[in-house]
Amino acid sequence: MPRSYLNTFNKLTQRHVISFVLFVFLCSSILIVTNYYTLKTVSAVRAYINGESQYSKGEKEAARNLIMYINTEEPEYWNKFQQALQVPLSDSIVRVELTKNGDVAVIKRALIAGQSHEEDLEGMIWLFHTFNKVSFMKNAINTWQEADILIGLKRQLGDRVHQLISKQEMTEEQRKEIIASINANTTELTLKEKDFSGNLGTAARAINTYLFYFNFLMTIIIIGIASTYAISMIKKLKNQNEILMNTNNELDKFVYSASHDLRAPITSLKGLIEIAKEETDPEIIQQYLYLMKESLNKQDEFIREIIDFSRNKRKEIVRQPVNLSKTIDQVIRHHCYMPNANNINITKDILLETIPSDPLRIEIILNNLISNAIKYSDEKKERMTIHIKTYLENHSAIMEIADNGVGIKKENLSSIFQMFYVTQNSNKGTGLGLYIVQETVAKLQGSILVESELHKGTKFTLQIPLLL
Amino acid sequence: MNDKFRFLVVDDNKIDQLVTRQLLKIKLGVTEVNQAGNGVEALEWIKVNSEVPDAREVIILLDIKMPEMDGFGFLEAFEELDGKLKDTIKIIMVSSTLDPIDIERAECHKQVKKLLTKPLPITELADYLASL
Repeated sequence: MPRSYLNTFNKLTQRHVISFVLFVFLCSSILIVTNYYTLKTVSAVRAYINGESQYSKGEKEAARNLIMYINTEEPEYWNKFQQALQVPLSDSIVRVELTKNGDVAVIKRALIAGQSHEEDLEGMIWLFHTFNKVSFMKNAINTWQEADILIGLKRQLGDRVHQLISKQEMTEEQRKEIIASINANTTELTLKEKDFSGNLGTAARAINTYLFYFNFLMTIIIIGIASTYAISMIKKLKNQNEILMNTNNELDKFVYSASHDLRAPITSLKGLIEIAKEETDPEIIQQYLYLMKESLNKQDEFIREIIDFSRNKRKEIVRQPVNLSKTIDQVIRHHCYMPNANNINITKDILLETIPSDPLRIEIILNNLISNAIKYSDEKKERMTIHIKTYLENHSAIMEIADNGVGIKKENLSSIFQMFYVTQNSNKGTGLGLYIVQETVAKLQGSILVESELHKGTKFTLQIPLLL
Repeated sequence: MNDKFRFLVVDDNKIDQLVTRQLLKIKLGVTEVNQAGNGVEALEWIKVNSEVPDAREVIILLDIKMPEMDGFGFLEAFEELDGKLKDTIKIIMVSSTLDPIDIERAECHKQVKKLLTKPLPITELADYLASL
């Protein structure tokens, strides 16, 4: 009994452990992947913001050098202007190439020229391609494009300044006008740059917040599941422990009940010897001898039942053809020395002769049921009968053992299969027979049905699935 | 013995009943031994016999394991009886049990005067009866 409890417990536990580990693994994977991509996104966004600040710096420096050039007409400033403008111009190439999904090598070169860090390049390209349809990136790209147009304008202004200075044609008025244009251009660019960074910065902060909540939620879920699992496991352990303790108690009870039932015939025998010693009447002594034999028979039967019980528990099912007719005859022969056995009219109706099943267990079942039918025959009946019938129904062997014996009280019917249960007229019973029958039938995955009426008789119907 | 005590053997085992009856008869000369197959029958006997006035004390030899109502079930029902009636009855448990729980329960029960093991140790019983 304890072993089977443990087996089911282990199976259950294993299944639970596997699903639990899988779940935690899944949650952790989701957590790791999400964190990886989120951090990748945020770091790429930061790289773009950083790029913007280089863009802005370059553009402002260009403006400053251009104004210096206008004021001093020193070619050094013209060079510096061109150099400084390279950063936003490169970024412009980046945007155009990215938009038309151009050559990665070209894009990378342009990004480096735009003073982006080498390690950020992949992330920046990835972000552009992944999010160019998402509002924060889409808006930023639009702003970028508008800024690039202004950069183009700034370059044209520069070219015009260079042309005028080279030809020494710049008038004071032109100078003022161009400087005003440069300043206006720079102001407009500054707005665009702020817009760009603002867009991306907001997105980065939002992503950070979502990531925090997501991490928080996932952690809570993992902790929640783990605690629920732990609690349910503890509960289960407690339950199993209780079952084990009960089983232990049952085992104790079984040992004491069994030892009592083993001792009872011995004490009866000792008592009989005691009174026989004092008896002189040979006829009464004969009676005592008969009772002694009865006591010993009972003990013998009990020991046999204990062995049947343990054989059914321990032995694996052996599949073999079982000849029902022969088994029944053998069992009847076995019981012919029981009181009344020879006065009972036993009839058979064998419609199913041989079945694939377990011969030992079929014998245990029939032995107990036929022995009961003989034991509880009703001497008051004019004609005592036992009728045994076998037939096939729905891939199962059906065996009926019906007697017209003393019958079973209605209120006792539900208890007769319990261990050590004996009824009133049971000096005859050990309380094990039907328990063993039920256990054995269960082992063969069959079922047993009892119908009985007090003083009329009892009918047991067995349904044993064929072991195909 | 016959004029001092009346005996009631409560046991479901027919052989043990016979043995007890014969031992009482042979060793103690008791001729009247009443019998009950379980606790219910024993209570019935007490009920019927309490109506007939009798000066003799009742000695109940009570088995533990019996169907319908076992020895402890009988003791529980016995406690509910009228106090005066209980005073006229002495209960001795006779069993072949080895169960320590049963033994402790029997020894601790205030209505159980003695716990004897089967087969009935007649001299021990005689000694006890003599001490009353």
